[in-house]
Amino acid sequence: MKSVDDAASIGKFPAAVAVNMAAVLIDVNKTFRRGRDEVNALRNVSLQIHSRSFVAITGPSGAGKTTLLQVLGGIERPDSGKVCVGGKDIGELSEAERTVFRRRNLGFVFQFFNLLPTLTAWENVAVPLTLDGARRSVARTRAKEMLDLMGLAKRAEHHPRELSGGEMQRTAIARALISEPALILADEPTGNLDSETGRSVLRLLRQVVDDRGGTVVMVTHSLEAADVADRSIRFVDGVPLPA
Amino acid sequence: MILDALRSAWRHRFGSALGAIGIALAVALTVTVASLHSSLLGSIDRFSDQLAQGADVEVLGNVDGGVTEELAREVLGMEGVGVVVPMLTSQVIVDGERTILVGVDERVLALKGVFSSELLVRVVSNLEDGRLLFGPAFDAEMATVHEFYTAASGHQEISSAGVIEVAEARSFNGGRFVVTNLEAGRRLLHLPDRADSLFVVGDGSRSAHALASTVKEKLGGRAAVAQTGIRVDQVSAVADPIRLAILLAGSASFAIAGVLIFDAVAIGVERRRRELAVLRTIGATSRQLMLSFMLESSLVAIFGAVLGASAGLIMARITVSQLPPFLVSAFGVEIGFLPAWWSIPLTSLLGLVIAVTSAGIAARRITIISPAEAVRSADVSSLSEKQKSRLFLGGAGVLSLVLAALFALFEEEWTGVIAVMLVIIGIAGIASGVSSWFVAGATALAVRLPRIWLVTEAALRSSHRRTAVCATVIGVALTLVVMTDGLARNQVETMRATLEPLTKLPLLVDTSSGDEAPANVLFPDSWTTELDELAGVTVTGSGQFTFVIHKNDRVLFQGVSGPTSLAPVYALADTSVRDRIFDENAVIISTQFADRFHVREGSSFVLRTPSGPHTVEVVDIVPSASWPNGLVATSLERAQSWYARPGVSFIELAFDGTVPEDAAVAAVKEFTGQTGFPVYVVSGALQVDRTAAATVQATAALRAIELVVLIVMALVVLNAQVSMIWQRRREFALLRAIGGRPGYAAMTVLVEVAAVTLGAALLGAIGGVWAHRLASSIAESLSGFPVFYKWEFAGLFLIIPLTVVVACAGAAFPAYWVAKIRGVDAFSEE
Ligand SMILES: Nc1ncnc2c1ncn2[C@@H]1O[C@H](COP(=O)(O)OP(=O)(O)OP(=O)(O)O)[C@@H](O)[C@H]1O
Ligand SMILES: [Mg+2]
Repeated sequence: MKSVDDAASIGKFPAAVAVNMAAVLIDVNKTFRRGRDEVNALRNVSLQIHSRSFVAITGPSGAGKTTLLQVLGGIERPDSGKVCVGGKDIGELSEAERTVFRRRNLGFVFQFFNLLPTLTAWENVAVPLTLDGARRSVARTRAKEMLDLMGLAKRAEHHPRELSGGEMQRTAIARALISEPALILADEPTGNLDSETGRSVLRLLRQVVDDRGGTVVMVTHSLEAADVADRSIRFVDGVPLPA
Repeated sequence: MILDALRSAWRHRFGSALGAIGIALAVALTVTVASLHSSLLGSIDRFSDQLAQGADVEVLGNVDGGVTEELAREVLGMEGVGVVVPMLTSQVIVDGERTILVGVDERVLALKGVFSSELLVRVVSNLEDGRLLFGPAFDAEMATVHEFYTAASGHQEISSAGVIEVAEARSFNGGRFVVTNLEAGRRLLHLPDRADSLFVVGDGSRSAHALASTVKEKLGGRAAVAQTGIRVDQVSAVADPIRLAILLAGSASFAIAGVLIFDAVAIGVERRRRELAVLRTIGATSRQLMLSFMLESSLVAIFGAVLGASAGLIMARITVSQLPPFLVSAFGVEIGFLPAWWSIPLTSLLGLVIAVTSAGIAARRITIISPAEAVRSADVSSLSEKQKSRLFLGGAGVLSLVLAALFALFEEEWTGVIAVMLVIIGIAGIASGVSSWFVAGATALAVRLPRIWLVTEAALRSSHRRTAVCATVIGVALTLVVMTDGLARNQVETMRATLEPLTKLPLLVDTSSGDEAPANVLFPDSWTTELDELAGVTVTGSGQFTFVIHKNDRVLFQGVSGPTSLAPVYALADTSVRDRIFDENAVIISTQFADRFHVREGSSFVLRTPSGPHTVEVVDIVPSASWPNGLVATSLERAQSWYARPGVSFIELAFDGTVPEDAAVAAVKEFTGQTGFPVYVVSGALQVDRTAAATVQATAALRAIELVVLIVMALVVLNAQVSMIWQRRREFALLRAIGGRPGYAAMTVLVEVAAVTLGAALLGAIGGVWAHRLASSIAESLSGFPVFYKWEFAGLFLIIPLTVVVACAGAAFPAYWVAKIRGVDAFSEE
């Protein structure tokens, strides 16, 4: 396990560092207000995530893990600090630009799969492509290839309700991978699966890093899952600690 | 229990509000129309009551002032008759306004009305000529000298001998009356020996009904005889269409209310599915859960009913005060506000039953929720239900259209009403049955949308129940709107068509403005020669309107001066036969008269007049909107002598070019201006415009119904889309998270609404065109108005886009809302 990189120096040489960094956070703060209470979900978080690495984020509930993923994905804006993904400072992008950025450069995997129940497996996988203007025939071919890779060739025409949990999550991973993003953000991808199925999902994510040269940031509560990662970061009260 | 239901209703306030609005609308519409009806009939009924409570039978002259003392003596001599009370109740003009002149003598004490007071009789019997007792509408402080006018007497000054202050007097024609003794009244009206009606009190030996038939038989048509309340019967021709409106508006809005409640509950069940599943797990029976929904809906319905009843009463109040002058002037009775209280509990109960029933039907879905769902993940639950085929609904819709066609064949009024209802139900069924085709069509189009075809498809595929609800409501709304729009347009066109000849008349001097029924007031005959002598104008014609009683119905009798007259009824008649009215006992009648009394062209019928019976031959039948019960026209000479009424109601003028037209008009106005009561000097075209404008005003009620229907439709679309978004929130959040633009989600809402609206609107338009056809024949046979059916293409062109726009407006908020959903929601479970 590597220690948390010293991020303070990065600010001075962002271009040089960004080349082999999938994502960099510098002094990121995020506070939520609930009535009078303030929750510091992220406190002065500085992190570097190397390209082609598998990073596990662990920590107790409410520590700010999901918030970290949302900030990395440009879904939440940090209150302060800098977020660079793939060498781009996404803080400088407009809302619309960040949307397109997510579409082309990021893949998401969720605990509750989030498949569109009315679409078949291949259609679910094809959604990111269609958002980018792909034609039906192209989208279908690519989606089916992707499902094939996930071992779901026979399930392409099934609706989510006809799939098992593991199959649903593998479909979701296929969807996350279809636009060949550099960075995959997974929030407890095995949280809703039994341990055997969970393991196969972890294997798939591992392959993404090893075989396809992707980067995975995965939030997990499971120690076993964290073991698959190259590096594990523990969050407590919005602060990353070396695991 | 009730507290829980209230809390739950509050928690789902949008759906609750929609349900409440539905019930409120239905109750409000029905209460309004029912109260309008009861105000109309009640005021007239009260008029009779105030006048002659206690009378068993009323004998009404064939024309105003058409009963003689001789007739009174004859009736008094009949078996079973105890007392006969002759009374004058004539329309006169006092200070330029229509007023009722009541004439009584001591015989009135046998009755129990406002005028049956010894004091009053004593006062009026001692009145010197030129002095009258005034009703409470005349201020006691006011000038004691008043302008009095009738055609026969011309102008006179009269003075007030006092004002009647008793409370009941206010409700007799709104207090707008003057009283004198019978003899003085006769002198004032130049009707020696006459009365307007005889009130007969039986000697107790037989029932009022038997007495009426005895008197009727003996009089043999020389006068109209009826049990009191004859005036109420006479107004029924006008009131019937209102009854039809109660039936249609009421049932349509109750149906819509049912759909709204169903919608709200079905969505409530869907939203609370997990919550319900948990309750099932911990031991609640589905019966208990269903009951809780029904209780909640009934509370919502009660709230809606209270709201609707109050709104209905207010609306009725306003409507009554704004009744078209046409109605008010025709019966010479002030229409007061008399709410139909009975309609409130009745409609509230109906609303409650409908709410509970539709809630029950919608809540039936609870029985298919299994406790197991509580432990399943959120994704799967909402879609686990199979999309049922709704084709059977479409089939039922087609069947009901077929039934409608069969019912329409019978051409009875009630079968017509049923046919219209069946068309509406049929369109609802078909729209709901084939709504999945609209979705399929939209999906087929959606795949061609760049970038978002799968997103749109996803939305459309989840939408069967939702689109069915929207399609049904939109289909029904369109059917109603196209129908009422067609009726309204036809009515205005018809009015114009029947008055068309008047547009060629340069100048008209009239006793009534175009938006009133012809008045009982007349100009002196001398006016025709005097006006002719004015520089710049020549009199081309004149005529008289008189209300007469024909077979117990109040019909309009018209006299036409000569062949140069442009009076529509004459001008529209066949030129080869119409002049026979000047030479022989021949008449031109209106289509309504022909229809009502079953008279055909070339046939003859007998007119009972004060001068005796006259057999007249019908030379032509023309459409006329002048009076719903029917119009009979002959020469002016006959009209005046048969009914012993000198004077004219209107004078037609042409410019002779000797002086500028402005100057000629000014001269005419100056001449007529001395009268002190309203005289209308206008071009024929303007008079027609006024009538048309009044008709447009009268169709405002139809327009209001259209507006309400469209608003409800937009609300249904809004509700359906909001609940859809609520259910699919996480999907939309996911789309945002993985890089979908906010606009994509909004687009799916609009695509769906546009597709469903367009499909349902086309269906509804077809239904509407048919319902319009059916309704116009019902309206015609009910009202007697010869509403020409013409299918209104222009309306459709306007309404279909309007509907799509309104529906999309209903979808605008949901579309805005869905665009606001953020990607973060994809990370949490609920
Ligand atoms: N939109 C929000 N509004 C208010 N508070 C929020 C919001 N999102 C997150 N929080 C709070 O911020 C803190 C961090 O939340 P976050 O979801 O990142 O935790 P987490 O580490 O993912 O926890 P878990 O392991 O339970 O998923 C929590 O206290 C949470 O309640
Ligand atoms: Mg979390």
